[in-house]
Amino acid sequence: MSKEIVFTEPLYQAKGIKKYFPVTGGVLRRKIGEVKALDGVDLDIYRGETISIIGESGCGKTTLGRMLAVLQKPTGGELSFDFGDGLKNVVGLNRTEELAFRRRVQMIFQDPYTSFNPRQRVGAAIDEVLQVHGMKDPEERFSRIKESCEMVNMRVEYLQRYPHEFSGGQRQRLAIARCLAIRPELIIADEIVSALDVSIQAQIINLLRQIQRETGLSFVFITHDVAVARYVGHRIAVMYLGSVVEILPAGALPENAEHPYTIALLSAVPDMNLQGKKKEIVLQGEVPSPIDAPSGCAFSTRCPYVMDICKTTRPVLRLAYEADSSHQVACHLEKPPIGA
Amino acid sequence: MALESKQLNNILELKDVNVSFTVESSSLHILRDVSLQVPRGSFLCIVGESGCGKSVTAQAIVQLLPDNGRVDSGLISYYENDQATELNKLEKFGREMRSFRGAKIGMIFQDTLSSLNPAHRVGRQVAESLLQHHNLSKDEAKERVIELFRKLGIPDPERRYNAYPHEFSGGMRQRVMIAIATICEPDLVIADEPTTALDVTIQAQIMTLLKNLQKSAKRTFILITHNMALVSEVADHVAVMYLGRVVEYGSVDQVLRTPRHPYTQALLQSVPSLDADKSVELKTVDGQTPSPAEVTKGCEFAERCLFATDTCRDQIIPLMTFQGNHQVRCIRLDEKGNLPKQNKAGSNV
Repeated sequence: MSKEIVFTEPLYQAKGIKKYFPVTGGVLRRKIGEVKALDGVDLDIYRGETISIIGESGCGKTTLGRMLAVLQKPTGGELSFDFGDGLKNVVGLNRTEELAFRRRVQMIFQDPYTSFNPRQRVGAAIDEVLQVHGMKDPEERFSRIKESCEMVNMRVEYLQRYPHEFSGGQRQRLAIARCLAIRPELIIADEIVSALDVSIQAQIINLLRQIQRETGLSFVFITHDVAVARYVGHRIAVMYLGSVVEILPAGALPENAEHPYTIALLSAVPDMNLQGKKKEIVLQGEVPSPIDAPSGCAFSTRCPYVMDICKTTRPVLRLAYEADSSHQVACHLEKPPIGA
Repeated sequence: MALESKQLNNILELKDVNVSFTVESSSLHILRDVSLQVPRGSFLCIVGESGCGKSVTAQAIVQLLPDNGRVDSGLISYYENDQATELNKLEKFGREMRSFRGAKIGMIFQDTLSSLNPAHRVGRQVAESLLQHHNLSKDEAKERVIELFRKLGIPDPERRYNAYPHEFSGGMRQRVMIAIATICEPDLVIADEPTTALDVTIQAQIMTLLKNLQKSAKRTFILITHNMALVSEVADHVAVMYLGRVVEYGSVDQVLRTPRHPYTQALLQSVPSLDADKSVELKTVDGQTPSPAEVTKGCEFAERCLFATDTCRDQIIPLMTFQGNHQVRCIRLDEKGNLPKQNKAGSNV
């Protein structure tokens, strides 16, 4: 196992983040219920680390990314970011403070084609970001753009082109370059390799790892692909139905996962090298709707190890059985279900 | 001519199939001399990246190519009771071809929401092909559908028979698609990316289901996918395609454990495994897949290949066969099937 680097300086802290979306019905569109997209998520992001967030569709990983980027306001909970003088709340900032926050925290989306304006040359699109953030000198802006293009291996001449002239992989490089141009401290990447073919996906993954090593940026890497998450991230947060059920060092996967859901997820992932060597938990049924999420543990309706307490009391993150301070599990089981 | 006895073992054979599409009055060569042998009762996977022609291969077999596509040459033969039928010689929507589609060859598609009619109850849509191909009353058909729903793990099948597609989750809709494809008990089922839109835990359920359907009824499956790891879990035989050509064919062990073609090797090394060494960079393939219009002669992979020579770009690349019918389309392999040790200098452009 490769050695794990431990990061200790917190950059961003999410505490008890909740996001409820109203469900309306009837002719008057009255509120008839709530979708609990996020139901009390705690997450620390350290300076210089990549944390991967994994989970199946509807588990809230994208919503969490949008919360962290403050693209939407959480229904409850606290978000605090370190601007250089300690952690500070970032929800409801004024315009100047918000700009300062956005300069430090950037987001990349899954489909780069829809995140570029089709009628704007890509160079202008990157330039615009720098202008918004108050860089007045055109030459300084251009040298920044050039520098970020070099980091993603794109030729500067390409900046004169329009988004449709690029392939999916190239557009994703440009989206990364646009992020890097203002030198952020944290990049939130939401499923950025999911739409790409594997050979192109590998190029982008290598690029991200290289940028991370060279700049010491922090990344939140949101993906549904467990193997990619493990390869890219230092730590992994596993989400299920709006909550984080396990946080563990990437190297602890696949052997030392402790939450029954994490183990089930791993055993469902097809893998060439681990065929027949994995611990197996085969899940029946499907993820329940977050509109009527089970009380108690969200996973209790599908968990093969469910106990009475699971149905009534929600487990909170606690230290894992394999006592490693960076490995936390939200589960009532005292011992990992399958011999660790 | 291939051996008679060998043909008996195959349910389907494709021989030098060429397909072209007319796009804006120019012709694109999409499938290039595709030859495949599908042994009866086996699980064949066709893998490749987007645009490699894997779906077009499936469409060509059942004659469901889009209107601008056509089979230019080649043979698609279906074997049944010592009798061969050339599928591509049949009239596209004629009686004979229709007796194959649905009844003898079942099909499962990726996009369930657009494959199912949103205005009809799912039970009726499944029963439709039964009523089309068999002389059954509506009640008998309904009974058979409900029985199959139960076998496929659709909960509460009597009630679900009358539900509409939008009332199902993605995984359940895919089970309905499987029901449509298998209700007439076809000998061959072609599944085109059936789990790509699904979550992994649901994917695992669906793949187990397909594998059981294959084993229990000695059915033949052709699975089209881009996921190499998935292939390793279900396939008996694998065909790897690149830009319209089958570049490697063999048993799952041959292709995934001892890949010979540079493209197959690169494809396998570019996906991280769950136990990948994180200190090692992923192997990448430089550049991107060219358009079919750009490559008209020589090896389709030559521009991105680390081992390519001028000969690769000029001549028709023959299929080389190695021990155990492991077929590879590459002229840089030696007689033992190994690539030259030294990479071409300055390849990393």
